[in-house]
Amino acid sequence: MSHWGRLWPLLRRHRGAYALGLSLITAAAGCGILVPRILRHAVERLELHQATRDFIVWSSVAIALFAVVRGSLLFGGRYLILTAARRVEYDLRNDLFAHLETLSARWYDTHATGDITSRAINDLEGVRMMVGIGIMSLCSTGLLSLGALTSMFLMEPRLAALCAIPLAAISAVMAWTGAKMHGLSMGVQDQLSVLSSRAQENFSGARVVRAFAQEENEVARFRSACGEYRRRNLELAAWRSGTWATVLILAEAAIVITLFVGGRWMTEGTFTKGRLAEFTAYQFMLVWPMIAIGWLITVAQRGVVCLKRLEEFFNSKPETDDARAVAGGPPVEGLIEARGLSFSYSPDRPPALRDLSLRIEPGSKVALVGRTGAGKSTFLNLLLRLYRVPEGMLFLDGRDVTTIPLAELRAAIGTVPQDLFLFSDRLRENIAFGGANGVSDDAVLRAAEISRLSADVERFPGKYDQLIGERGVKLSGGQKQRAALARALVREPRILILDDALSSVDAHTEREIQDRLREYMRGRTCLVVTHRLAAITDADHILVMDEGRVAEEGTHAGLVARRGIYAGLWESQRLAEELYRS
Amino acid sequence: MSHAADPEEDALGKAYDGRLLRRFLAYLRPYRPAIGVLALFLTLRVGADVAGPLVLKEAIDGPVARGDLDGLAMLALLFGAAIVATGLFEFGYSWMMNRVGQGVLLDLRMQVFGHLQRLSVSFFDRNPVGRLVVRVTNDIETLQELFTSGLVEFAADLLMIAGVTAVMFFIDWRLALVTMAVTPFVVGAALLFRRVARERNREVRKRVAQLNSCLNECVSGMRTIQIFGREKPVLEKFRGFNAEYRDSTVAAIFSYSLFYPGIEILSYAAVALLVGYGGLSILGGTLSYGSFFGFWYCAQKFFQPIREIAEKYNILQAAMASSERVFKILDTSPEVADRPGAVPAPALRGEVAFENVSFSYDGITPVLEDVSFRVEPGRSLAIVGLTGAGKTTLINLLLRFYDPRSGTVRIDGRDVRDNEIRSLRRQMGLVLQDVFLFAGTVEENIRLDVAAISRERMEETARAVNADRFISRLPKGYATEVMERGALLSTGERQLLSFARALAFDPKVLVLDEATSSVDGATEQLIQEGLLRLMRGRTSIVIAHRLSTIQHADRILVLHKGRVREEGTHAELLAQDGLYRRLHRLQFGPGAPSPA
Ligand SMILES: Nc1ncnc2c1ncn2[C@@H]1O[C@H](COP(=O)(O)OP(=O)(O)OP(=O)(O)O)[C@@H](O)[C@H]1O
Ligand SMILES: Nc1ncnc2c1ncn2[C@@H]1O[C@H](COP(=O)(O)OP(=O)(O)OP(=O)(O)O)[C@@H](O)[C@H]1O
Ligand SMILES: [Mg+2]
Ligand SMILES: [Mg+2]
Repeated sequence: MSHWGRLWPLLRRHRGAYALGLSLITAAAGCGILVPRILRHAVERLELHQATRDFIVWSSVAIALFAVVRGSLLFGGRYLILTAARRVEYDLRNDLFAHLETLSARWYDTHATGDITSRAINDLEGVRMMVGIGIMSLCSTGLLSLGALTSMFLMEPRLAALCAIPLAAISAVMAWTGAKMHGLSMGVQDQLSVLSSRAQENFSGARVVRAFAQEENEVARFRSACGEYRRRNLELAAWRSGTWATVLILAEAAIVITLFVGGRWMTEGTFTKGRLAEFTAYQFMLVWPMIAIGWLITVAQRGVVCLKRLEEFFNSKPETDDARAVAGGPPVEGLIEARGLSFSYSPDRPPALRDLSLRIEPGSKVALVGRTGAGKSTFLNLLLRLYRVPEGMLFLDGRDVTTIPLAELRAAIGTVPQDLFLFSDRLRENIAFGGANGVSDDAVLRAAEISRLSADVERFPGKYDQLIGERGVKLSGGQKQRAALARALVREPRILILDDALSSVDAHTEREIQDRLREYMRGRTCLVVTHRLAAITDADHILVMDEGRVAEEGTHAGLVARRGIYAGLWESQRLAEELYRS
Repeated sequence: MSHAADPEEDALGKAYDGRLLRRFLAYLRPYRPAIGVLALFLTLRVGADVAGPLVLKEAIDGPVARGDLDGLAMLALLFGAAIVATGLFEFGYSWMMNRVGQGVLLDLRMQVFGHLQRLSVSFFDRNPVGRLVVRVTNDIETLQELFTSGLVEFAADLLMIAGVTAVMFFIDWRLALVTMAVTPFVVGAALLFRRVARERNREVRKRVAQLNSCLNECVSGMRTIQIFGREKPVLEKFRGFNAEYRDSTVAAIFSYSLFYPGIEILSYAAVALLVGYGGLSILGGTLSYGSFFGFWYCAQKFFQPIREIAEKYNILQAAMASSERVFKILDTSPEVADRPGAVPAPALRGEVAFENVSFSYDGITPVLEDVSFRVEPGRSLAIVGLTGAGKTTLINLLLRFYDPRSGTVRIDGRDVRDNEIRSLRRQMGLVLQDVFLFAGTVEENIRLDVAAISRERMEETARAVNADRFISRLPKGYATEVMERGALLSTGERQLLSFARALAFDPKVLVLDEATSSVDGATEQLIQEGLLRLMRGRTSIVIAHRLSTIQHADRILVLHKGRVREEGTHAELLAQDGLYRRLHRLQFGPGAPSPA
């Protein structure tokens, strides 16, 4: 969709407000155009010595009346259009957010949070300025100048034509500098995103920056980004000031022409002072629009740039969608199968999964182990369809996962991701987040009990209403993991995925959790990724991954006996034990 | 996502414009010469500009009335010259204004950013990242308007008004008085508007910061939202914040829309007065046509700056609201700061001691109570304990992310508060439990821009933690971008990188908080071997739940509910029937009974 195509329906949605607002502004412009006429009559009568005191007073009162009417109309028009623009901004931001929600993991892997938020706030503001004050000023100044120009031509075509020359020159200047400034605004806006992202990184990594005493380096880096921002802004400002000064000169030049030509005619007796008054009044009317146009062009340019930058986001398509989905399949049982699954995050990287084949029976507890970077999380990501899954390679209950609607697929799965994320909300809301709407307090308590978070909660002053801070900073590492576990448990999923979910939990608590989970997991398929092998000796089946494929599989005892990779990993933990003994 | 309840935002003191402005003016001090040039251009510009009405008056009363064509041509030329001069001075003035404005913007932004670097970790615990980003981007951006639209253009407009007024009085003082009868109303409208607009703008700034925090958090947590299928409710929540923002701005629009047309009415009222009184004067023969036209032109020039002020007044009000917020950050003093008289730490030997340390994050719940221990230089201490026992908190105190409520943390026998914080931190290496990588290359993440770390050193440490294996497989090796928080790496790989970073700085004291919790056993074994060599003669403090990680520790401290429960060597602790033995048995004796 083109960027205008995006905006159009939103403007249409508020067409009532826009139409009414613009008509009010048109009417206001009409009132404005009438004032010079009153003026001419007054001056002409004076010149011809026909004016009475009453006539002068009434002219003055008439101008004042028009002023009040014009002011009220302007107010109405302004209010309507500016509020409509806020509504357009609101709608567009909601649309943008809804679109962001559909985008896939890869897109987020490659886009900085600071950049995304900068566009959703700053660029949207640019668009709003364009469709609000921009459209309004365009209409009011445009109509006023159109009206003034027409009146001028009707009154004195030759003089008007002469005066139109500098005005035409203004358009030419604007067209020429406009293109240049467009590019420059884009650069400024991009750099603002860079600033945002830098700041964002620095604040998110506040602890690292301090721990490594990197404050000065960070300041230096930020300074260089700010310096570039200033440079771009100044370049833009130079062009803007130049254009603006040129416009100013040309706009006033028209008045000089009027004075010179009109003055000659007056000495020749073919022009009256009254007409001069009316004519110059129109020209004064034109000066302000000309000035405003410089600013208007800035607004329009920024608006278009911002709209284009937003459109870049709108044009990003989700990698995984429901295009091939067949809705209404049977409820998920939990049989997971991969047949020759290969996957690579990007063409320049070695495949993260190579020809992976495995089968996980419904209701079984299966462990996935392997060295760092073996592809365990990748497999889970694909099962959740966070990345694009090649067709015909990954199956759930015998259905190709790409044919299962995303919502249905994910509803069946409860996950504790390895790099978990908690919201800066109350603990209760964070746990309830996992369930569908309306998780009962009982369910939250039960989940917290299983995940052994309940003991810690007793010590929080706010209990379950404790605010846990951004990303859960106010919790300990193990508390965060257990909160994430509770969140997955309230989901009551068919398939439970624990990706290294207890790595920050001590052995004692881990054992307590496992004892409680055993009951919970009955009848559910459970996929456990862990580096602590003691925790999975009881698994029904263990898959050992290496370099993106299943290298060994079997039960704990069987694998230890095989003396392969698994036995090696197991030994590394036994080895520690022997060291202690020695 | 409870950005709604936010005491910090509401507790904003009502600052006075005068004070804000004075404070802001201080930022202009370095630019005095430039501002001098600016003022010169401005004065010239106004001078050239007000010449117009005078020329117009002369032309009509003189050459036009007399029929002197040459005289008319001369005056027209003069008029033209004045206009060109106006344009040129305008350019000069506008360019200088932008130069100074951008300069102030840069200074202010750097000051705020620099100040944020001095603030403590606890400040960042309390303030969502999204909100702080708004402060250093949008709010400061708006603040620049305080300089351009606020100070300079306001001064320019005032100067213009003064110039035009002078010309009007010069032409005809009575008519001038009549025309200017509307000014008190203009001033009154402005004052009234200011009161309303300020409140509204405060509200707007608050809402935009909330919206940004919400957005920031949702974007960061998008994957979580998606895997839990919570897109709809989250969208609803977002809409809520968005609507609050919209409503706050719509409320501001009402008063704003009223202001500009109000000024417009007043400007026409002045014209009405001019026509009435001027007409009557012409009728009475006390005013020339030339003066009338001159006045007419003046009235235009008089209201144009006022109209501009009216158009920008809203921006100015927004800028004031932003400045309150920005200055508030600058007024926040760091909770953990160098004491006056703190000295840079000398090269550390590496002795670490806690003496009766107690701590609480919120002042209510004790997290550490009376913790004491000592680590000899070059020795290693392992800290174990149940989750939530306070291990990470201990480390936070050692690195002075927070200061203890009571008790002392000593390094080499000196209270850490007697040394400059950064000089201590520079000699310590930390692997945080929550790994954080910067968006940048692998190399930048290990060296953190420090030129002191050679490439060899970097590669050596990467080898020591076994990270070289995966780095060599990345498309560009050390130059590969890892994206925000290391999004393009597996969790274990991220941990290895942050481990390499801690080692690369060649610390005297190495602090590892669950540094290998997401790394497989075999890799960990290799790291341990590499580390034995690298860490010779250095003190290390290691937190781990996986007991194989701490197998080489000289001493072990068991922390339980914020207190030291057991302490000793591995053998000593195993001999006691305590928490350590239970944990040990759970991990190494598969059949061991679960502890009661
Ligand atoms: N988003 C990504 N983009 C590109 N490459 C990635 C991405 N995520 C992971 N990789 C790469 O894919 C490989 C497999 O990663 P994966 O996260 O599946 O490992 P893992 O087995 O879960 O390891 P760990 O035990 O450390 O969690 C790694 O080499 C990693 O660098
Ligand atoms: N920034 C903070 N603000 C408030 N409370 C906090 C903060 N950080 C930790 N806490 C609380 O302090 C207690 C101790 O946390 P700490 O992180 O020290 O535990 P830990 O021993 O490291 O646990 P784990 O093994 O789970 O990482 C916990 O109850 C936690 O909720
Ligand atoms: Mg993983
Ligand atoms: Mg911890």
